[in-house]
Amino acid sequence: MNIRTRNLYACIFLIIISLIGFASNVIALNYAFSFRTNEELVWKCNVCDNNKMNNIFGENWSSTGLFEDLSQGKKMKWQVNTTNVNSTSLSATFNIWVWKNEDNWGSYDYITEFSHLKDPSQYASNYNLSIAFPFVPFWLPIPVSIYIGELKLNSIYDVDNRVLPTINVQISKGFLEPSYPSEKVFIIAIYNYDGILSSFKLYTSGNVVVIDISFESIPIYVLPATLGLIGAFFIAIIIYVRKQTKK
Amino acid sequence: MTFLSLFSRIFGKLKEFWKVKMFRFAILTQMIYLTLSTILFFLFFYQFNDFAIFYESGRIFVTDIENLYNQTNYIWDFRYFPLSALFFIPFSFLNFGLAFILFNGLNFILNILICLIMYKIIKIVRGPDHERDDNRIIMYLSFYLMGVPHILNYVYGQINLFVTFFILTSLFIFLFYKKNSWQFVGSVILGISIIIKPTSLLLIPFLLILHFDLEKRKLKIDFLKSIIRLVGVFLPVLSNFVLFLAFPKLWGDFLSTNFTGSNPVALNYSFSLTKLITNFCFLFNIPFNQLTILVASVGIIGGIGFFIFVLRRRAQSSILYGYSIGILIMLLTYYDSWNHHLLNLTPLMIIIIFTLPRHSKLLNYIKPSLFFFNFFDLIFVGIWFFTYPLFPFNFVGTFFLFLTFYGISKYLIVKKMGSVKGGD
Repeated sequence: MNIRTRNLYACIFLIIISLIGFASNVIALNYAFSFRTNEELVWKCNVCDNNKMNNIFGENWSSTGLFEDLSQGKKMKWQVNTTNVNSTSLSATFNIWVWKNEDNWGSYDYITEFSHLKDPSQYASNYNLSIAFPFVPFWLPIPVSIYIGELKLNSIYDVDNRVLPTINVQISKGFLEPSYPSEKVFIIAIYNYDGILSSFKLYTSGNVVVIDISFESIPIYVLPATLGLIGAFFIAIIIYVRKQTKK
Repeated sequence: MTFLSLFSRIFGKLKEFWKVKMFRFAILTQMIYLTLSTILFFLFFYQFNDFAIFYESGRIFVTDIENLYNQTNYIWDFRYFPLSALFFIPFSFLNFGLAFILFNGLNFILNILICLIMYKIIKIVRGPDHERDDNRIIMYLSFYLMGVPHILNYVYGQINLFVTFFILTSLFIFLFYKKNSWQFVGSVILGISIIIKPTSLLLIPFLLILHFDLEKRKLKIDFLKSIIRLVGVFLPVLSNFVLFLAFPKLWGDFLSTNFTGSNPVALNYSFSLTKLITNFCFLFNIPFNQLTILVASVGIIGGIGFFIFVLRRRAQSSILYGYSIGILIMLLTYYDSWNHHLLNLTPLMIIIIFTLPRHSKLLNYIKPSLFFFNFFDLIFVGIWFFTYPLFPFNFVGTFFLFLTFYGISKYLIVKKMGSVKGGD
């Protein structure tokens, strides 16, 4: 056996050994927070058709909870107060400024604690994330794709975690009260990889958007990456066409 | 021909290929992809890949077929025809990790077989002005094997190579065997590819032997062969209905999963035109109906593609161009067209390169597209994650799909191309 052949067999042997090693060592997941104490999270309401919401959910839909005083152009701010991890759950308290028009936030409106089980498989089957607005959480533990994939949710939810961590919700007519909602509504909640709700859209049949909320801070690289992509594409086309016409 | 002699011929041909340095490099690349995907699978994607769905479908088919479309059994929806689960029964008897490794081993063998079929087809359809030795063919086969879409195909444990294998086998039969019995066999094989994954569904119209002669203004149709082909392709597809009849719940679940289940509205990096449109509507809150967009896209692009096919001025290897147009229409119009689906298209593009005149200017459309799909498309999937909050459009792949569509259409319908050295 020459040296090259021996090396080849050695490589194959190492690959097989490492594969066997991996096969018996699937990594256990530790879910965690992505945010730190005092970090601020701001969401902006891009669309809010109040009349339509009143028709669908009644006049009181914006009187309490996380949609209190929601209307187009307003912002909501959360400041991380404390975070706590114990053997079974991850919890965080937030100072919450509900939907306001101005950037001068003043003092917060509520202190609220939100928690999630550390092991999502421990939630009961047919679990409801929330049966009140906004029906989906504003934050989830990370890695969020795997976390939502492990939840055994009620049939109104449909998790799509193949590309972006997304929770689709389909709320049938009369799901909340006999007369509300007055028609079937849909929600698409997209989370960023930090587990923060980055886009929330509530819409009716025909994809007519009634509420559109988005996380305000877009990562710094998004704008240069977008401009770079479009610019590079057109420059490449121009160079290619010029080269071809010269031939 | 016995299996033994077939095997020895295959082995002999591979030994010939092996003498070419680039092919050895391509095999090494495949080995790296295979190893990398196995490591990634055990580190990150264990249970979070498409193979987990196929594996589970094989198990449920045997144990509890009525719940084949009960989506609580799967991490992501199982949407394919029920008979597709048959392919995965043997794997479902094995340990999941071992099944994944064996499945990808089979994918690797399929890649080699795909190369051999491509080689056989190219050898015969190759234009007269192409080099007579095999070096250039082996170079392109090596490009195919080195293709980056193989990475995700291996990582996800996807089934695209089965589809490609059956498409190319049926293409091979249609190109070289003219008897009606072979037409039937070729179309049955295409039908099997549709059972595995409906990617090749839109190839069916191109099985029709239909041609409008623009010079004589006369429509020619070979009814008998067209009917034989249609019967052949629909036979495997319709055999699913035996199961639907036997288990009515299966039919209801199949319909609800495919037509009323989770909606295809959410953002993703699919490069299909339909997804670019729905992403645009999603971003700007424009009301839309995704089914209408799908039907309109298929109607417009599919209609143009089919008319070009019927009006073609070049009769040679028309089924090859029909298949290519069919796959292009599918990739352009179905909601989710991912990087690994390109493995259905690139072998056809490589064959087309050898049927076009050696120095044809049409290669300026096909070749850049092939190299983009084969080596660069995945980069733009990565870029999409950096731009999606502002610009959720993976449009570069769409551009090259249209470029290929344009190049093929031009070849088929332009009367005499002054731009093509050496005529058409």
